[in-house]
Amino acid sequence: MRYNLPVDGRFGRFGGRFVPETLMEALMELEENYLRLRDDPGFVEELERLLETYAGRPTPTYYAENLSKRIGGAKIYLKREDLLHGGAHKINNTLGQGLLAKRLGKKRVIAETGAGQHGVATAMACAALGLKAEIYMGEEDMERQRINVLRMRLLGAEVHPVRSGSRTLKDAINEALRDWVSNVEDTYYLLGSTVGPHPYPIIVRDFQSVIGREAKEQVMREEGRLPDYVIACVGGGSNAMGIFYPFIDDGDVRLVGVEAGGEGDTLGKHSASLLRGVEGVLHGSLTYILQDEDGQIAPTHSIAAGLDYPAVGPEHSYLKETGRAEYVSVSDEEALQAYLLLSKTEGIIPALESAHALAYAVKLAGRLRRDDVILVNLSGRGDKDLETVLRRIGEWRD
Amino acid sequence: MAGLDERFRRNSTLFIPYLTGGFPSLEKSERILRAMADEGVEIMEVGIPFSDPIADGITIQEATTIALSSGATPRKILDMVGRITSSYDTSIVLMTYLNPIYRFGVERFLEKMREKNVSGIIIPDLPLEEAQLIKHPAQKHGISLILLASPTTNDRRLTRILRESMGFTYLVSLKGTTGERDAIPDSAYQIIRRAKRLAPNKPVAIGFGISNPQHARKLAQEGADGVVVGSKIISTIKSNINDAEANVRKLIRSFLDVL
Repeated sequence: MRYNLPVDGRFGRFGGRFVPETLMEALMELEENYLRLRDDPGFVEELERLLETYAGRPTPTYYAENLSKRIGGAKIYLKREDLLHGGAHKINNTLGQGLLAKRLGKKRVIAETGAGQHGVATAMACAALGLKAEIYMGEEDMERQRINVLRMRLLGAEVHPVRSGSRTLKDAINEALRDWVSNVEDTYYLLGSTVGPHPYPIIVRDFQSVIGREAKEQVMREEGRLPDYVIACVGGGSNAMGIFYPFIDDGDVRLVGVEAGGEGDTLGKHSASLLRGVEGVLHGSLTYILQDEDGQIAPTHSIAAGLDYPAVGPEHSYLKETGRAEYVSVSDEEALQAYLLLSKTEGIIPALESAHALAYAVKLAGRLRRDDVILVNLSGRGDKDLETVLRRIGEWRD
Repeated sequence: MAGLDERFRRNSTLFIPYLTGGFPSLEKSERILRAMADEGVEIMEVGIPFSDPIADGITIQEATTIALSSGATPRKILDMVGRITSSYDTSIVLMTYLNPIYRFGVERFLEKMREKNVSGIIIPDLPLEEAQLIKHPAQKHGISLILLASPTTNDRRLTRILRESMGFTYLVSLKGTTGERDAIPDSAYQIIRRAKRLAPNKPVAIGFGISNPQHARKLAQEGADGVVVGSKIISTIKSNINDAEANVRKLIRSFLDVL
């Protein structure tokens, strides 16, 4: 049986559009409009200008010499997405999709947020573009991330507490999807990662690819060649897809995604969907998912709230299966040590999410030669994590 | 046992009650389903709870949480509906999201459905474009894959959904999630009219927001072949937890009386 509509939005067998029928028309319309606009010179130019003048692009790629020498192995470069407005890579996507929403004539934007970074970036983009933002956030996350709730409200967004399920990110996505089903005609759903139904994984990846495009040129300029490794943390996977994507065809560049190993291998103690998950369908996408033997979505844990998600973008599932990218995990403790190490050696406080990528880079660098080059996506700044870190370590050690 | 098609052929409008399997407990949900069958319900919809029910409003979400914490699993619910189909002349269609089926194994799940004499399956996160995942194994095991159409479905898609859906087509009455509503929106009448215009002989059941017998009757008059009521049943159980069966029986009768 062949259908008239192409069965697209697949990365191998992963991805797809597993959503209620009510959303299908909107998703097809979004795909069509997005494909048209991404090649529209006016759209591209407007986005580039916003990225430059509002968000602060291009971001530098920094050779972390102190850190590299301290480890005594490969050279570690950091792509400084932490320097962007809002303190994380999230703004690349929210400006892109915000502009898309505006071009589609939608005045109301909804979004989900876990730790609050995507919610804040959405609120910023919507304020800048004159759109109304409503953010769904799990009640438990609202308690854990009070400052981000205040920031969103300050930026003019309405924050809706989500009281269902585990009251965290996955439930915020459920609630945003329910809102979208009810208001699909006048509302744009601004999804924050490379997850969800097609075309979101592609849209978010494309808007984040600016990270990899810049970094590729910058490493080329410094080193006269491509890096040997590109390393990024993976929750939903948007910062990783953003830096991986422009390197996909460069077969000699090894792409490494670092998942949250949390406190151990038991289900519920980590967020390593690719390493320890099972294929399934969540939030519209066929991908690796942390679930129990009955197909119920499992609780997750990570010291980094932004990695605390039971599924992963379908393109990562595909990259894992084809072997183009490799995936590893580091524990809460290793991420914490990397957070402290970078702060001390380079004067850069990384987000705990990004500290996962860094922790693996540090482990790897020691085993490599001095002229090997590692590029790490420093996807966000870590001021937001000070409380978490202080609680963990009790007091400052020197 | 009569097939879904035959049941629609020999009745003007069927009342199709929904219950989340395992709500308020496995044992009680079985007793309630038996009570419904006793009342002469021809088709019942039984939900297999899934932790992340995006098409459901708060009432069914809460029932889902209770069912899961009371130990409901796909296997236990399949066993339960098997006991019902072997003792009553009532067709059962299951409703669940794709992930529990995918985890169980699509082929094994459908095989199990046949073994338990279940007639059909409704999967709210499986739109037409993704349906081939289930379609062929369902056909092989003689299970009807019941597709959904909604007010945002255009005529071209609706035509294809009506053609591809088996047993009947589930019309979603409104843009939104399940849950009780005060009034039936125009979109409900419109989608029945459109479906009947595009495929007059294809049975359609309408659901989402249908909360009382007057709603059901109006939709029947508009041409619906079936009317699905879920959240109202759940809330009736919830507010009469010690006398749930009797109250559900009364509710069922009030719907059967007007159809």
